Amino acid sequence: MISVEAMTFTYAGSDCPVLKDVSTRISEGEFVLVVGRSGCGKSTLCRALNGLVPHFHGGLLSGRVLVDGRDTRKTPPSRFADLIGMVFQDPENQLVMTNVENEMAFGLENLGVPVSEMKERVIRYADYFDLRRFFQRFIPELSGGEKQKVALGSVLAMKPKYLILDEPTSQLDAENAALFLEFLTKLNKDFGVGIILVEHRLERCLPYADRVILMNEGRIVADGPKDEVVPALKESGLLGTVSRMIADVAGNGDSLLSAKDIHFSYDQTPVLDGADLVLARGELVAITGANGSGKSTLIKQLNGLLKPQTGIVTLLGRDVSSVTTASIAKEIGYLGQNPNDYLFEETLEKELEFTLSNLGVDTKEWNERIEWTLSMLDLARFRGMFPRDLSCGQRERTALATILVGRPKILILDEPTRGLDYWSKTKLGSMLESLRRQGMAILLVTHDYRFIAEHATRILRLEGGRLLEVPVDQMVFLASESAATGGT
Amino acid sequence: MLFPYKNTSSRIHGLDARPKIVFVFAVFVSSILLSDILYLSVLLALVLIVSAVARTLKSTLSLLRYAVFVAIFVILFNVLLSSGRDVVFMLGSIAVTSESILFSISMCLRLFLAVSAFSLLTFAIHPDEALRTMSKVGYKTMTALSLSTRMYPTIAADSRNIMDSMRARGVEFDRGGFFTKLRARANVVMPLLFNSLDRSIAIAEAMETRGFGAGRRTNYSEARLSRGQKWMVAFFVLSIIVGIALFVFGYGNADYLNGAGFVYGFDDLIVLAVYVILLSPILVGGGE
Repeated sequence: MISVEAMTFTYAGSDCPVLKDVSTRISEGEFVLVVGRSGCGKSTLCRALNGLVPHFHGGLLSGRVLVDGRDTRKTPPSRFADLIGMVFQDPENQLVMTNVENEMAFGLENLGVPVSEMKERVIRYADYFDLRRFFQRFIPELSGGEKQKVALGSVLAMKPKYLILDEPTSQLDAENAALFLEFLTKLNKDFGVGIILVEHRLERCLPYADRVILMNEGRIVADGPKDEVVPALKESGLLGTVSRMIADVAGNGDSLLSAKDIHFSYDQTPVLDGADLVLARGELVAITGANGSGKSTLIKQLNGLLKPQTGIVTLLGRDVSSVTTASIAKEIGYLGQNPNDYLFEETLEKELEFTLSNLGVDTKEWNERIEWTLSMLDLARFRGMFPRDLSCGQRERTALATILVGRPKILILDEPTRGLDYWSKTKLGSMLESLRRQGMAILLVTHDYRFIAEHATRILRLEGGRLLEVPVDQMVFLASESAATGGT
Repeated sequence: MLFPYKNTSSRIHGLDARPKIVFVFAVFVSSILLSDILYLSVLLALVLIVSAVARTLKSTLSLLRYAVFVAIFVILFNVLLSSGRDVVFMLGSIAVTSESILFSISMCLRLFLAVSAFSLLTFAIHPDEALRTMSKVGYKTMTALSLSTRMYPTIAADSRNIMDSMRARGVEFDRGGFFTKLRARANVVMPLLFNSLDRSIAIAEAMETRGFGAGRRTNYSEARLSRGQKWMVAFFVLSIIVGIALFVFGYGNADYLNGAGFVYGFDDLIVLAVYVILLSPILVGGGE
């Protein structure tokens, strides 16, 4: 049993506690879903369960956490490894060894498990997770879904009684996420492992959980069996109906960007096989597709980050198939998957000035442009702050600001809702809608069905290297069904 | 694979990491102790033969290509600054002597020997295996080294993504002169550093939750050494002892700057043969 007793925790260097008088108990074999908006303390709570808080992160803790009678204040996190396993959001940041077999053995070696038992466990769990065929594969060569499975298998081989997962499906498409969550359920049932799952995508995870803990501003505001907590989830806006948040859906027909018959292969493996796309002023087009279907590859063809092997890309009537990205950055903005790639200056203002300077914008215009961008994205109060100190949602908007300040006519976004909570997504959605209404053409790639059902004017699916039209009504129906029932 | 280890099948790859590490260490020691050109040449030939048997000769030679740049500097430095009496030719007002030429060759051979031995360590021992073997000496350091190998492709991808984001903000990486390109690339350093710091914290956290540093470790691939490989280790250790003895008794050492030349007795040949015999069992390997 994990017992959290009147725990209050404040990170070092902060005045405000992130957890306030939190008490709860989690038994072996439970499947608990922990939800709440970004910054509500759910990740900190999870890290307090195995002593990462306070030992690893530092800070002031009152109250106590007991795991099977062991006090986390007196025991370092590494000593909880045999009791509590943890799987993190980004598999890239939790795999240590170079191949899968050694990765699975790493934790067992640390626990001092005898060699014969270790070999037996590695084989057994590799078979269970269907990882034997990857044993000698170099880990960076695996796909995101495979990496996450290796991370899970490696932790499970240590036979923990409880498993904490911090947004493990945020980088997976719907199909892989469903497979992953079904796996968790199987582990829960087959081995009786207690699952503590932190997720933003409630509609994905709710069907699998027995119990839900809802947090807000460092406190547990609802805790109980799933059915009992659903009203609180609806009230908080986490569960609800999907409503289209866009007006005058049709673009004005003025085509800004078109790609014709695009082919592209990586090492003889075709990824794009005759993809066609037209993007008009005032449109918000969403592209979906499975992990690895080539969505990111496709959008990189449009602004010169990758050159199509055959096919033509036309921007404002000009063939741009072979120009550099920087030379068309004024017309076409691109926001990649990781907002941190855009943030390195001391202040947000300097970050925007960096773009303006590279684009050769007259300095007389800078202040007006910066003010417009910051107010557009509700970031004005952070103008003098170090961008990396901002929250996840704020950082996403800051990265967007570094592009938007160039006032491009077209905006391309790769997975802009990744890691964002429902409220941050809604805010981002309404900002994109406002830009669209001002005439900008927006193209985004995402796995987030709800987001596109609410905000996209047109939806395309990348399949077999080509783009297929998906009726918006069909997407709204799918997203509404899962949002209302908590289904995937 | 993006890291230097060559995943080929060879007799040398079939060996346990332990005899290979001791062999490399023995060669390193000899490159420090020996200075005679004949001794160094024979050992360098032996290491290159081992490299050929390991099917990594091409990679070793390409690594030696970089050592050649250092060697040129060593030769120039010694030829121009060292003294000696036997003048071979005059370079302006500088006398180039046979003593300085021989001394430079000896220094370069030492460098080539050390580099070729290092290449075996890099190309013929799996990083995870090296980690496990060395972990008994300092496993935290070795884990850090293995992690850098593991993270290299990730950081390379990070760097590509950052460059893409910079391009989208108007930075040209491929236009202009050398300094313009250099200045453009300097922009990547800070975000890459910040991202890597974030990653290192996340990895440390993940390692902690998997019991790293919790106490006494066991070793997954702790296979018992075969009798043959134990003998190999014993031979290589003996070669280190012999190397030290040679040094003490003056074998394999030639003070070229003070006029030493190529004068060898029968005892030299015997000693050299013993040295080679002690190191060559590695060629037997451990099966493909």
